[in-house]
Amino acid sequence: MSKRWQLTLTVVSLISGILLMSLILANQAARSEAAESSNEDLIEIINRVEEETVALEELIDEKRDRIDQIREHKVEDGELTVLQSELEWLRRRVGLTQVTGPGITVILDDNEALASAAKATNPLSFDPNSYIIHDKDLLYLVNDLKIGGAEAISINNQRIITSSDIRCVGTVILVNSTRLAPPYEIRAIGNPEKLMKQVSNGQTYPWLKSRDFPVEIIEEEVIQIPTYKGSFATGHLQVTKGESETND
Amino acid sequence: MTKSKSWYVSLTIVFVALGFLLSTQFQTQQKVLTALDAQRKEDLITVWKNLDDKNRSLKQEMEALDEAYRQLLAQSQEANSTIKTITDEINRLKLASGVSAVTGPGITVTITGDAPLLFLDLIDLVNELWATGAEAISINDYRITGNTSIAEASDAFSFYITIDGEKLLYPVVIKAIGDPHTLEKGLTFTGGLVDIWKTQFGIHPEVQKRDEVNIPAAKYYPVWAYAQVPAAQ
Repeated sequence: MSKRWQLTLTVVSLISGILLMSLILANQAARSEAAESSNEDLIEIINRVEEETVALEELIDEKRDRIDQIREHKVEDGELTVLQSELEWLRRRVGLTQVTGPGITVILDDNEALASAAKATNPLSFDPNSYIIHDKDLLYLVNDLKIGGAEAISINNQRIITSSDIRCVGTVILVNSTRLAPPYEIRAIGNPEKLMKQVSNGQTYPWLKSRDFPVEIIEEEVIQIPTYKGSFATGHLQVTKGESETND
Repeated sequence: MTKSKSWYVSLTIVFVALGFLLSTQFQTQQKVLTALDAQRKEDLITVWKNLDDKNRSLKQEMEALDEAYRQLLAQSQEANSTIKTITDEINRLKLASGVSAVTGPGITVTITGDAPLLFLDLIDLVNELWATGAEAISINDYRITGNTSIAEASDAFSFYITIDGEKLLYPVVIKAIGDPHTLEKGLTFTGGLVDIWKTQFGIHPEVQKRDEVNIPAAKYYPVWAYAQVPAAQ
């Protein structure tokens, strides 16, 4: 028994010894080979390029994330379309688009023929104001057109908008603070018959006609009314909070 | 028996030690095989070239991504600024168009039922208010828009004023938003509208400056049946 035990131990020790030797030899061989080939520069370069590559990969990953974020927050085309159509609707409502359609043209002119005749026959009682078109004539005519359902109105190519004022300074008529001169051409788009009827029975036209002013109404198949070219004063206005809005 | 037992134990210990040695040897061999300093020069150059190629393509990728990023950023900023421009314009036109209820400083003009008020006087008043810088006007809380008409109608009992066809009730309260001082002076100066009303027509309105006036949104906008916007615009 003890003999066998000794034998086994001897064999095992022998194998262990061989293994240990080969281990040491392998390590030595590897080291000496590296030293001999002097690859240190190459290894350094490889290590550096490797580090750079890792850093680049991280940067690329980060950049892709950021691009994805922008894409997610990108404005939807639909949103822009909705806004643009709302703006377009408002622009029409406030007179910022040219409009065409059927309607009428009313022409009012100063009564120069009658004025000179009156001046010649009766210079002392001659009042030139009785022979010219006044701001109120235009103001009430515009109201007549609105009663007649006019959808767009202009006077001598000045678009009448909500806040348009018609007034005079001396004998000069201002519309949208722009000086106008006779003859006054008032255009209105709407139902021509209704507009015609309203104007010929309205405040201005019959009265001027009765005093022989050179006035006329022309029914039109297609007229053009230009856009409003002025500004909108909104400096004192704030939208009331919590109030609903008018829809089309 | 005891002797044979100790024999087994010794042998087991020896084999465990042997196993440990074997695995260490294997690991060392692996390390030696993968370590750069264990490689031959040609192999190292190949590794370097491969790495360099990868590095170069990564840099190209990075440039492409940078370019895409710049473009996307510019596009989104452009789209956002377009949206902002449109939204600003919409808000401005909403204020001007009567689509929104509005609040602001201004004046109120109150006319009582005993005044001999004609519809033409109301047209004059509204026109005068616009002329003196009113930014929004209402009559009895009815918003005045570009389509609003003021007229006269009658029934069996009397004549009355209508606004867009609706009968006007007294007292009539006209509200205007704008600079209160300018609006008030625009109406009450000597020879001005209120002066003429008082001296010639016997209408005595009460004009008051207000810190805050509320004017509702327009009730409706008529749908255009005749007017069209030319397609070219």
